[in-house]
Amino acid sequence: MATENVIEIKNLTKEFGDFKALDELNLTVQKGEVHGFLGPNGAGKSTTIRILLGLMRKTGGSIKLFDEEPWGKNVVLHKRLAYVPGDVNLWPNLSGGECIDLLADLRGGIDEKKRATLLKLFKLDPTKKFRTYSKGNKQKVALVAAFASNVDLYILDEPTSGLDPLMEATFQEYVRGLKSEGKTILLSSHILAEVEALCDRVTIIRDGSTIETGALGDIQRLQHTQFEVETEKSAKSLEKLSGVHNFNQQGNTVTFSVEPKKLTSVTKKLSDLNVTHIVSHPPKLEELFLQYYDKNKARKDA
Amino acid sequence: MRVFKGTARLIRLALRRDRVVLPLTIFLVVIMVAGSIPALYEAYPDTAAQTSYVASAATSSVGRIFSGTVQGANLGSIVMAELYFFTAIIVAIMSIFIISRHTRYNEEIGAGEMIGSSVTGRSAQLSAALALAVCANILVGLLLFATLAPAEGLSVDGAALFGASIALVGIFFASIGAITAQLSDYRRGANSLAISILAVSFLVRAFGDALGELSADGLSVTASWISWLSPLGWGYQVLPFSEQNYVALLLLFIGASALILLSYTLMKRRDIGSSIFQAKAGPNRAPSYLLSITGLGFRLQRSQLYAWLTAFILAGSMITVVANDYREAFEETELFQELLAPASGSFTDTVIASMFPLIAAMLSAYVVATMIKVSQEETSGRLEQLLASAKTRTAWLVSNSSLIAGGAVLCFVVMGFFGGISYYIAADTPETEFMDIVISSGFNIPAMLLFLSILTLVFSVSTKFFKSFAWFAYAFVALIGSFASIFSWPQWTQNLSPFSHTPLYPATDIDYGPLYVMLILAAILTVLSIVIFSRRDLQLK
Repeated sequence: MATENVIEIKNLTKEFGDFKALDELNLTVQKGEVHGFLGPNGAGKSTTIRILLGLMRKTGGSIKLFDEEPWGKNVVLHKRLAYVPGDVNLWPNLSGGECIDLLADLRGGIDEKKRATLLKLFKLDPTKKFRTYSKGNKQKVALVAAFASNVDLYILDEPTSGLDPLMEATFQEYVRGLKSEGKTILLSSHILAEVEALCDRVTIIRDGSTIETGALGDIQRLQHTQFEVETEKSAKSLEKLSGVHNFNQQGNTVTFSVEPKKLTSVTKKLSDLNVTHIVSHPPKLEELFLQYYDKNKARKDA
Repeated sequence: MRVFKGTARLIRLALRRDRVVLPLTIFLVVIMVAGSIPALYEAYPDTAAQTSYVASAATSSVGRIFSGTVQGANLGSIVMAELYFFTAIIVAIMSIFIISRHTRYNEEIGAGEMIGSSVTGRSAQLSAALALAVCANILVGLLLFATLAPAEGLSVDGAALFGASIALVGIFFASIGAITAQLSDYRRGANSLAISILAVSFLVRAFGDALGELSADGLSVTASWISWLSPLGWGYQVLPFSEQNYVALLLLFIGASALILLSYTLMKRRDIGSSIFQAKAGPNRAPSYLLSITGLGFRLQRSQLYAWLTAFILAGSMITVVANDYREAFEETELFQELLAPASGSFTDTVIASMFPLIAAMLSAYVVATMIKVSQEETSGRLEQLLASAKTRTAWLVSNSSLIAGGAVLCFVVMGFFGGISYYIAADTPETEFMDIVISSGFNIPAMLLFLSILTLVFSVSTKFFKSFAWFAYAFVALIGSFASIFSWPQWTQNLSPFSHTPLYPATDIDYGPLYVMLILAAILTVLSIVIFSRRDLQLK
């Protein structure tokens, strides 16, 4: 079966006057996947989402949501999606319950059973005035409103930045449930553990451009593998080998990372050093993220 | 005093935040008083003119309600009757807003917590707000003294007492604001509570003055004891140009001091960010009327609409009753002959036809304030949430401006209707038809809709300068209506205001021409706004 793309963005640019917020950005989200959308603050994540929602106009490139250009198509497209912004600001005098009903209804209807379940799951009291909620509870209002709508796509822009670890777990469990129902989720987040736990594929952007996209495993495979090794003989010689980076020695223990192409030569050399203990793992998302960030910065400085 | 540590620093912060709005408010109050003095000289140049004005004000119920108790045929009586009411109300509202902005609002947005976590005393924030309000009021008082003291026919000590009385009324309502800021958990709640107290003290003073005793010559009124129950009554009863009642000043001073002490006690008894009154719980489920863009718009606009309906009802009744009660005073004054429409109908026809467009221009603050509130849906990010649902921008803009337009239509119908009723109650032999009063009021609808469509157009282009533009446009139409003819400004400045084009019915024959032109223009501008708004980026953080 051919994979169907729910979101297809190619070479998207957006200019605000002289400032280029998006510069040739690419993003593809397939039907039924949880897609992580990563980037440092100000990279252009929210701008991309707002163009996707038809709230802002693109300057160039192509953008498709459910196979349609989103600008001016609110009514058709938005019945099929729910959006949770990073900064949830609703009507201060309406109760949480009223906000939930209103937002879900304007999207095309509310699932009563889900509403009741979600309120219990997230431990949210819907009778408080919106202005009296804490940051985390404001986000819960938006999350409940989104999840209680029967839609195909959920666009979540840093939805859990104010949630406690317990609620974070509840959120992850719920998103997994949605995925098993075949729903599509675009998740922009700074909580990389959350992205690692939930996402099938990720797209990393910086300064308005895509710098990496693909399955998390594939990306990790392309990157340096981390080693922590304890040896009987001195491992000092490893530092000089080509393809070895971030070398660090403390007594008998050394840590370093190795480029994928040099793995064979480095491991051959290792076996001569009488290894007593070895830990090797693919780079964590956080390490990846920092790597990309530094690489990009280096490129820019040069 | 450790609890006050940091107050001076916070006063500088407050001054910096208010550097535009506060000087502007003070300037407007003073310039309106200063501008009115020559107009009053011109209107009431001699004892005869002053006598007929004061006689009308003393006997008219509306005169007593808005002008208070006149004290003989002199310029002091007229200055008090014409200027005291609006000056006192503006400084009171200014003071209430200063306090809530620098206390409750700080806590609402979280800045209060950050300030509290720095090296500042517990009382510093409230003290800084009060200090700013007290200084602002003293400045208003001094400027009013400087304005009135040189005026011929007013005594210097009278001018000083006028300034002192206004300043103390402002300080009194700053102390009311300091209390309500402790009671309510958000700024708008604190403001509306304080303004309700202001409204009640106005009503008590009006009622007390209406029951006052008329002197034998019919030119002076002594307020009844009920007026002494109201802080606005104390301010008025200082009677700067006649009795010079220092006891009333003392009452204001003692009252304000006591309330300020109480506000500190309340403030110390609560946590930062909390309030004495807790926010009431809301419903779990939304009522079905709320579940649409229009339903939401109505819910958000309704409390404003009710407040403005009250203002329109009061204004309508005031106009028609004044037209009846001040008849003699008006007929003898040359200035009013100039100001009033070229008459073909009866005298009350003329007054009613001329006054409705003036008042309509003043009350156009309704569409300005409501449209600004609508525009804040966009700047706050709430519109982003709405438009991420299956609703269009066009639907949102059309339903919100239709709600304002509908509110405006309702306001004018109600104004005409209550104007008519009040007139038929006040007049012994009515000379204007009831329906003519309703129509005369209703004829202002096209001008109001045109004004609204201009605001909508500017909003549709950008929210960036919308708020300043809207208030500037308001100041222009409100001032043009009142001052252009008094100061004989060129005709084209008057023509810029939509309210100058309302036909002066029933003083003249019905002329539908300008009404049609204004309605068509309003329709064109609205369509243009929709097209422009559906093409621009939302302004988002």
